[in-house]
Formats: sequence, C-alpha cells, structure tokens
Amino acid sequence: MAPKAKKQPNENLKQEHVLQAVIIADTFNVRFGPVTLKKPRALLPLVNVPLIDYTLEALAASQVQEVFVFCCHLGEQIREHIRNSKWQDGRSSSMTITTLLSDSCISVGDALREIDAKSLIRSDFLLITGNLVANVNLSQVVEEHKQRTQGKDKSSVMTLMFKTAQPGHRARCREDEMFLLEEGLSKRLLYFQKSQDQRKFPIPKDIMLDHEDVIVHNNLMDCHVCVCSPVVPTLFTDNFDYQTVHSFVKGILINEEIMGNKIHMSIIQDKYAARVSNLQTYDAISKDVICRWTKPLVPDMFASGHQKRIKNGRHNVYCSEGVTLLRGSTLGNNVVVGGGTFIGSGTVISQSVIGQNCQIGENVRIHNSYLFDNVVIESNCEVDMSLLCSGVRVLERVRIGKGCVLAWETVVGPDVKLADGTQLMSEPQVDEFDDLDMSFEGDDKPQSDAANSRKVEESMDTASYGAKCQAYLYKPAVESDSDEEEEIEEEESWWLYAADLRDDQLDESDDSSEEGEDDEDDDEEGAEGAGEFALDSDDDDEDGEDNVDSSLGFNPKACLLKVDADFYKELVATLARADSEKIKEENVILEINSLKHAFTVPINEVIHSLPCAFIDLARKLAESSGSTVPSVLAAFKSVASRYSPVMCNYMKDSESQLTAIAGLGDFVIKNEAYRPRLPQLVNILYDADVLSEGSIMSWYNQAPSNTNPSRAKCHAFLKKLVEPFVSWLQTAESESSEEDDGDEEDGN
Amino acid sequence: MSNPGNITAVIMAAGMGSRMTDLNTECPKALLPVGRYPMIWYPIRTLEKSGFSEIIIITRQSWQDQLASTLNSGKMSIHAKLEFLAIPDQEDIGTADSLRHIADRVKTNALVVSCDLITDSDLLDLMSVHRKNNSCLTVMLSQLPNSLTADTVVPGFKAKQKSNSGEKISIGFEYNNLEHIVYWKAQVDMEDEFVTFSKKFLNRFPCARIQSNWTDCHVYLIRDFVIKYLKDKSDISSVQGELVPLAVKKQMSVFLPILPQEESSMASPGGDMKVDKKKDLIDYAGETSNHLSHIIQSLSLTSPSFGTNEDAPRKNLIGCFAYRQTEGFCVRANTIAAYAEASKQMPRLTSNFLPTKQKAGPNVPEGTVIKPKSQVGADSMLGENVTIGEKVSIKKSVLGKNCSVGDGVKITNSVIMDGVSISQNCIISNCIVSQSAKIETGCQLSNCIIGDNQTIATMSIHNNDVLSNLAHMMSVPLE
Repeated sequence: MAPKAKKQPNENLKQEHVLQAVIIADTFNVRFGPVTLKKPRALLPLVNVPLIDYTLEALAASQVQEVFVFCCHLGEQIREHIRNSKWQDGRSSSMTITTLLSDSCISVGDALREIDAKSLIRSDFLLITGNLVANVNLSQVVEEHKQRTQGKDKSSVMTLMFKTAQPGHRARCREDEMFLLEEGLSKRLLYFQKSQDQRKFPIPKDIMLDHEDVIVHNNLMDCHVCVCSPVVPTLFTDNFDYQTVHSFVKGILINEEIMGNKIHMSIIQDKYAARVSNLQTYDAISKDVICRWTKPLVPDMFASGHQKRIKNGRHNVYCSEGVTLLRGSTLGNNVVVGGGTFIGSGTVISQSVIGQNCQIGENVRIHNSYLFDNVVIESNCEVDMSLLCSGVRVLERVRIGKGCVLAWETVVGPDVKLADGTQLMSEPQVDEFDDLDMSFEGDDKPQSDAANSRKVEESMDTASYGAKCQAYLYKPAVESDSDEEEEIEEEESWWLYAADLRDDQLDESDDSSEEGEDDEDDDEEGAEGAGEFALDSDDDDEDGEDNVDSSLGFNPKACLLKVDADFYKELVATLARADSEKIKEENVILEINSLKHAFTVPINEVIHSLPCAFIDLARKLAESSGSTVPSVLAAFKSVASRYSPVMCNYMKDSESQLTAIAGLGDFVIKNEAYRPRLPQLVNILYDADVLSEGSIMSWYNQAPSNTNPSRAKCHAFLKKLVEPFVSWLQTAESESSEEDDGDEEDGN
Repeated sequence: MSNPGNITAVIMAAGMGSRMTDLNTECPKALLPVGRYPMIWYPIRTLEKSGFSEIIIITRQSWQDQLASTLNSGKMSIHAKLEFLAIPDQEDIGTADSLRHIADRVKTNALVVSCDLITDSDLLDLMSVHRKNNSCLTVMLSQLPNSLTADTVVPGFKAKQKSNSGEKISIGFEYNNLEHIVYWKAQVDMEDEFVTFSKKFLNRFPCARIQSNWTDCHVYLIRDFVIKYLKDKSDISSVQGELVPLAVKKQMSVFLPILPQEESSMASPGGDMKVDKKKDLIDYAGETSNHLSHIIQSLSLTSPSFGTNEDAPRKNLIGCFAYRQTEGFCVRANTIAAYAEASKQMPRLTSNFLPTKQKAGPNVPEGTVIKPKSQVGADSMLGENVTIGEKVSIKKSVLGKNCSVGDGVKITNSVIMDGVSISQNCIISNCIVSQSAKIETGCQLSNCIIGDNQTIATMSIHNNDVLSNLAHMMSVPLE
C-alpha cells in the first residue's frame, strides 16, 4: 500500500476543512493504441510535462489538501513518478498524495467501490481523471455543491462540471459527445444521453411537461470532474451495475423518484478545462497549452520541476536551455522544443512539440507532430501529423504520413513511406489485455492475431518499414463488450479532424473505381446460380495477398469478412422457406437465431450475411423474370420492405448497421454486376428503415483501416461507389428533417 | 400611411370567444364590457398609443355595424382611422384564415393584434425587437399575472374550470439571445411518449432554453413575405398553432437560389429528384433579400453570422423572435378567468389607456347616488347612473352603467355589467353578472355566472352555477 496514510490526530476537529480529491489515473480503454502499452496515459507528456502533473497542479491551485491517486494499468510507474515529484518533498506543497494500486479494477465503478471499502472519504470530494488540464478553480465547484447540499437541495449527491464548447470544437472528444437537459433555475440535471452517431434525440415528454424552464445543452463537453457527496462511493457499492460515472448518473436520474437523489451541474465558461481522452484531444489540448489558453499551465511558467528554464519567443515558440539550432533551421508558429535537443540545418518545424534530447537531422520537415524525448530523426525525413514516442528512430529519407503513431523504441527506415494512419510498435503485439473479451471480434480476425502477426509481419516488415526497421504493426483491439456503458471503441482517426487534410487520401483508388463504373450493365448474371453469392471462404488470407484484382486495384480476398459457407447456405434456404411458407417475422428471427447457435457463428457474421442473404432471396424470387439486375433489385425492394422488422431486429444500433453495410460492400465486391448498384442497394435498405442515415454517413466517413492497406483501398473503392447516394443524403438532409415535420404540420 | 415603420395594424375581432361561451351570448366578444369600455377598445388604444393612426379591424359581417357604431361614437376618444373588413358569417375560420382573407389589402409588414389583448405595455418595444433582429415573425410573449396563475376560483361550473395547462406552449429560446425563438411546440401536441430533437437542431442551436411559462399574447409582427406565403398556402388556418411553429422550424432551412435558366419554382436541392417541390417559406424569404442585403449581412458586425462562413446569410433569412413582456399588465381576455381578472384591474389601469391629456373619470362618477353608511372601495369602479342604497359594501368589483344596488348588498370580487338591478341584502362574491339581470332580495351568489336578462328569485343560494337561458346557450356552439 501507499506509504502515506497517517491519520492526523485532530482529524475530527478539522474534518470539514479537508478537501479531498480522487484521481482515477486510468481510463480503462485503449484509445491511445500502442502508446499506452508501455506507459500509463497519465504519464504521457503533454507539451513535455506528464499529464498527471497538470491534474495535480490544478488540484493544488484549488486548495485541495488530500489526494488519492488510483492507478491500475502500470500503476507502479505512476507511484514512482509521484514519489519523485515535487509534491512529495513536503516543502513546495501542503497537498498530501496517496497512491492506491489495484490490478483488479476494470472500471471507475470498481475503483470507487474499493475506495468505499477502505473508507477513505470523509466529506464532499472531487472525482477527476488523471488527464485533466484545467486552470479553473475547482474549489468553487465544491463550494457550490456544499451550499446546495447544506441549503435547499440536501438530496444532491453529485455536481458535474462541464465546459462550454460549441459543436465541432476541437477539444470536444467525439467519443464522448453528449446531450443533456438542465433545469433552468436549480441547475439540476434532468436528462443525460450520449449522442455519438445519433441523429434524433428523443427525450421523455414528461420532462418538458413537468419543468417550466429547461435548458437543452449540446454545447458542453464533459470534463469528467465531479463533486461527489460522501455517499457516492456507497451508492457504487450498493449497485454493481454502475461501471462508469455516466452509468451512475443515468442510474441516479432513472431512480430519482424512488431514491430521491439528484444530480446538479456546473458550467464553466471563461476558464479552461479539458480532458485528454484520445489522440484527437491530445492534439487539440496540446495546441491550447501552446497558445496559452491554459495559463498559468503554459510551458514557460509550468514545468515539472527538473526541467530547465524555458524561453517564450514570438509566435508561441518555446525553447528550453540547451537547444542547438543549426543555421538555416526554422521554427514556425507554435513550436515547443525541449532541452538538449539538436536540430540540423535546413530543418523546418511548425505546430509541433519536440521533447528533450532529440536529434533531428538536416532538411527535415516536421509539421503538426508530437515527439517525445530522445527521438532521433535522420536527415531528409518528413513527419506530418504524427505521434512519435520516446526512443523512436526514424532513419533517412522516411516520409511519415498523417495520423501515424510510432510507439516506444520503434525504428523505421531508411527510404520508406509510411501510409497514413499506421500504428507501429517495436515489439510484436502480445495480447496483454486478458481481461478484454476478444473472442467476438469481427473484421480483424483476432484469434490468430498474436500468432499470425509475428509470422506475417516479419516477412513484410522490411518492405513496408525499411531495411533496418524494428517495427511491428499494432492492431487495435476492438472491445466488443456489449455493455452499453462501455466506451465504444471506434477507430477514430484523430488526424482526420485536423484542419488541413482530407484531400489526397483516396488518390490510389480513384481511377480504378471509374473502371468499375464503366462496366456496369446487366450481362452475365443470369448464368450464375443462387448459391453463388456466398463466398468461398476456404482460401487463406496469406496466399491471396498478391492476387490483386485488376478492376479493383486491390485484392478482394484480403478484405472480406470470412463467412461460414454452410451457415450462409442454410440461412438463404431458411429465408426462402420462410418466404414460400409465409412464416411470421418473429419466427423468422427465431429460426435465424437457432441457425446462429447451430453453426456457432458470431452475431456480427449473421448481421454481415443478412443483407446478402436477402438479396439472394430476391434473386430467387426474380428468377421467373430472368434474374436481371433490375428485376432482382425490384424484388429486393419488396423483400426488404417485407422483412425490415427482421433486419431491424439485428441492426438496431449503429455498430451493427455498419456491419450490415460492410456486408453489402463485400457483396458487391464479389458480384461485379452489382457494383454500380450499390447505392440502390443501400437506398433500398435506407427506405426500408433498416439503415439509418447516421450509420450510412458514419460508414462513409469511417477512417480507412490502417492495419490492412487492402481493406483501406476497398473501403475507398466502396465509398466512391456510394458517393452519389451519400451526396444525395447530404443535400436532402437539410430539407428532409424539416420537410417531414412540415408535412405533419400541413396535415393538421 | 402614417403608421410607424409603415406597418399595417390589424385587429382580429372575428373570433367567437369559444372559451367563454357563457358570457358572450348576446353581444360579440369584442364588445364585452371590460371596465367602462368594450374589450376591443383596449387594443385600439394600445395601438394608438404606439403611434398607429390607421387600423384595420377584421370582423364578421353581422357584427360589423354594431362594432362600427359603438366604436365611432364620440365617447370612445378614438382618433385613429378604423377600417372594417368583414368576413362571411357562416365560415368558422382561424386566425390565419382571416389574415389570408385580407392578404391583398396588406402590402407591408403587418402587426396583428387580437381584440382581447389588454395590455398597457408599449408595442414599440415589440417593433424594436423585430427591427433589431431582422425578424420575419415577432411574437409578444408574457407571463401571466400572479393572480391568474395561482389557483383562483373561476366563476362558473367547476367541471368547466380546466386549468389552462392544456394551452401551455414549450417555447425554446436561444440561450445567448433569449429574444430568439428556436423551438415552439404546444404541449397538447406532444402526443408521443418522447419529444425528439434532431442533431441538426442541436448543432444549429447548441444551447436552447425551453420554457413553458410564457403565454402567447397573440400579437404578431409579420413580415410581408410571410403574408404572401400564407396567402399561397391555404392549409394553414391558425397563426399560433401552425404558422408560428412552421416559421420557427423553417429557421433551419437554407436558401438555395433558383438557377437563372430554370425560371420555374425549381429551387429544390437534389435537382431532378424533387422537381415538383412546392415553394417554401425560405424561397419567399430569399426572393425578398437580394445580393446587396447578403453583403450587408455578411459585413455587419452586429449580424449573428459575423465571422462565420459566407453561406451564413443564406441560413439566417428566416428568424423568429419574441418580445418578452415582463413589466406592466398584459392579459388576453379570452377565458372567463382572464376576463374577470382584466375587468377587476380596470379601476387601477383605465387611465393608462386614455390619451395623456384626457383624465380618466373618477372610479365613482360624480352624481352617483350613494346613500349613507355605504362603502365603495378604491379598488372598485362604477358606471354612470348607478344608484346605491344604504349599508352597501362594494369591494374589488366593477359595476356597469345604470345599475341599481339595494340596501345592505355586499359585492366583492365581481363584475356587474350594465343595467343590473340588485335588490336588498344580496351577497355577491366572485361572480359575473351580465346585462340587465335582476337579482331579487336576499340572494347569496358565489362563483356564479348570471346570463343576460336573467332573474334570480328571492332568497336563492347558488354556488358555482351558470344561470342563463339554457336553450339560448346551447345554440351558441351550433352556430
């Protein structure tokens, strides 16, 4: 246990005055990909200062006296860091920090239950995450909460702190988008909903009827700062369903009438508070620190102690002492360079953070990137919009594309170009998240991951990452835990949101897809049998690797989800039978479910196969008219409208809808004649209310997978196909929503 | 025209008064007495005070003469030129229909006022809000006076006393500019379990304050293009119920200019996919704003779209705003409760409506015969030629002309219209007594409505009753 747990003798007398804070130094997710495999997120340097120091500084500035830092993943490192920090020498601060280690916790809820078990909390306390950057005085929020609980609203158990940020604000984490309702005068939180990928937000009408003054907020970001009454850990203990603060909030709101507990909110407007929750916010908040929004937490005023003095120049250029800048090197706007770094001549750096003791060669261009300490970049390299961890070596003439992440000690080069969005690490990936349930993974085929990656990568390493490389591809683990409160891990590529990009990502697939469009026409499909749409899944990924389809520009086999052929055949047969015997929809669902169990296929494979199977069914129905493409489409339209309840049953949320769209994509890749018809296919499902506009758009905007170049091309190719439909959606969007409502109005 | 801002003022006086059928059996709703003047006199005076000198009054054919003769009689001290436009009697039409009826007559922006608006606030404030925000539809909202929101006992049958919660409207205001209306939905229209907001709405108006404690005063300042739109769109029949929500919603639409080669109304996005699209409100708005006004909008420092992208002016063509009236008295006398409340306020407020030079007569006119030991409270008002017997006490009440009150009568909290005679020792509290009613000796009435020409027999006791000619009353809804 932690070294410091001494209780003060006169504790009872001072009880009310001690302000406590609990820092959860783990976020229980893997949004940082390979970066956090070796170092906990709380210790990642943000503008050359470990993140947790920002958090601790914010607490110290808010007169917090006692801090509990709760660490799980790589907690030893955090404890070590705090032990060596200025906070522990007792002279520079009166704040006591206690580090709590736990390996068994997998959520904030667990952490609070453990805190409850240790009964560390004596009064209202602050609950924050270890990645908060803020210059707001948190004690004011605590004071607000205290006044509320001692005054008229004794039942308030929590005050959540939010920061205003208009939609699209760069520091808003897209995975944490939310929508909430506040009662105007009392500041009580009435309703809370995560809003990612949703286009409609239904709220219970009683809220509107019961409250005269309701504020609808879509302009807030959650700072994950909550002031909790001492009862909160107990509530967590009482209810094991509470995993995250969000689930707790929801639970409290739902049970409000029974339990009588209330949650309030506090909105900060003029101060800064934001949370480094993914790479995109890491980028945004770094820029904010450099641009001094977080003053006094800016590089020249705030360093974690052992660093040298930092000079602040014009255009937000910060140089530590001991930086060597050779003649002809240029530092553009918003650059931070750590001490001991050497920058060669002809090198241009802009909008970037360079750590300490980095070696940067000649004629290197670094833009919008983050280099941790001890990074070596040899001459004539280009780094754009990337994150390079400590000890990374980039050999000569390497171009690192946008959105790359090179984890600790990775070596790449020489003479290679890294594709956009590549995530590399220096050791082969080992599945160290044994607590994450990986068995249900869809597209990534994880079972063979660890084994395969070593074998496959070793052979392709040098080709992609240079002759002297020491680099293995990182494949993000997709959490498929169906718990709705679990943070949905979406492959969000942070760099897509940065200002100046998006132009050249599709270049390679452009010409090929045009070809695809040319050879449309309804020639050859009559000949094909019904089972043909099912794909032969027995080929191996590996041997198909070089087998590039000329009309597509990539190898189709490499990017299709393998579907159990027997299952698929049976599924089509079931549907056909259901159709001929007019079986009810509910029973069709039951039959499909039993098929799923009989063949032990994962649910996403079922979803993936369903659209295809229905097209197959349509094809059978259209046999009389010769199974031409138009007749199949017409039949599919009627099938889709008839069976939309069945499909909707499987495609309720956006994730499953994405899978279904991917299924359609695979279908058209296999069946060339249908390629130009993909928009119609999507449209049919859209009209049948199976696919929502939101999921089509999010599929369309999905970042190409960086793990599999072939799949990325495939996605780009499909995107190109669907483009007309999507652009129609986008133009129609401005009209449609109101048009619907307008019609309603007219009907009255 | 000499109206301020070249605005056409329109008073809607064609309503049947469907929420107060117990009262307006005989005379049109617009002529029900409120204090010493008929109801419609108040909005006319409010308009006059704001500088309007030409006022259009929409009424029903059969009421037109009655209205004209009443209002043009010299006693009313009305100086504005009143123009009556009649709509056929048989049509049961909504406010928007009435407007459409006279749309040809209205070439400019229009200020539409309901005949039951009784307010002493200045309409110029509403017009300022309109002009400041370049609004296309400005609505006057007010919070009900406390005396109405509290659980006051309303005269009449208890069963009829539904709370007015059914008429509550959830109105959303932009958080940073509370004058800007971004959401409008009557609570009765919330049929589903859920109220739905779209992502688009939330992105456009990230922070909206939705309040349901405002009443729509039925004062609308409407831009000319909206009236044109209304003229072409015949399925909108009510301003509050349909036009306002529609305009609020259409704020989200973006104007797509008509391509020059396609002269027809093909302003639709998606080209050939929706050729038959009808002209929408935004198209009317777009037609009125030309290229120059776009430039003005985009360069204006005060415009809400300053600093945003160039497209913004196209987006902000439609704006709905509210004048949130908070000071002064404002009530729509369209329910019995509101009518009673407005009447009782008149002893205090009448002078606010009169021209500044003209002094309001005293609440108890000179020459009123009041026998000794009687009290008429300062919060009461009597008409001309009222005779009051001995030991009478009148509190918080309004009596019309030619009433006679016998000895020992107590009247509290009541509205007594013209020519009512009340015999000795009656006790009347919280009642509305219509014209020429006779209340005989010793009656005790509380919370009652007495119809025209009714005679209440000696010593009767009534509570929460409507005493009127039933057959006559029944005929009203059938008309």
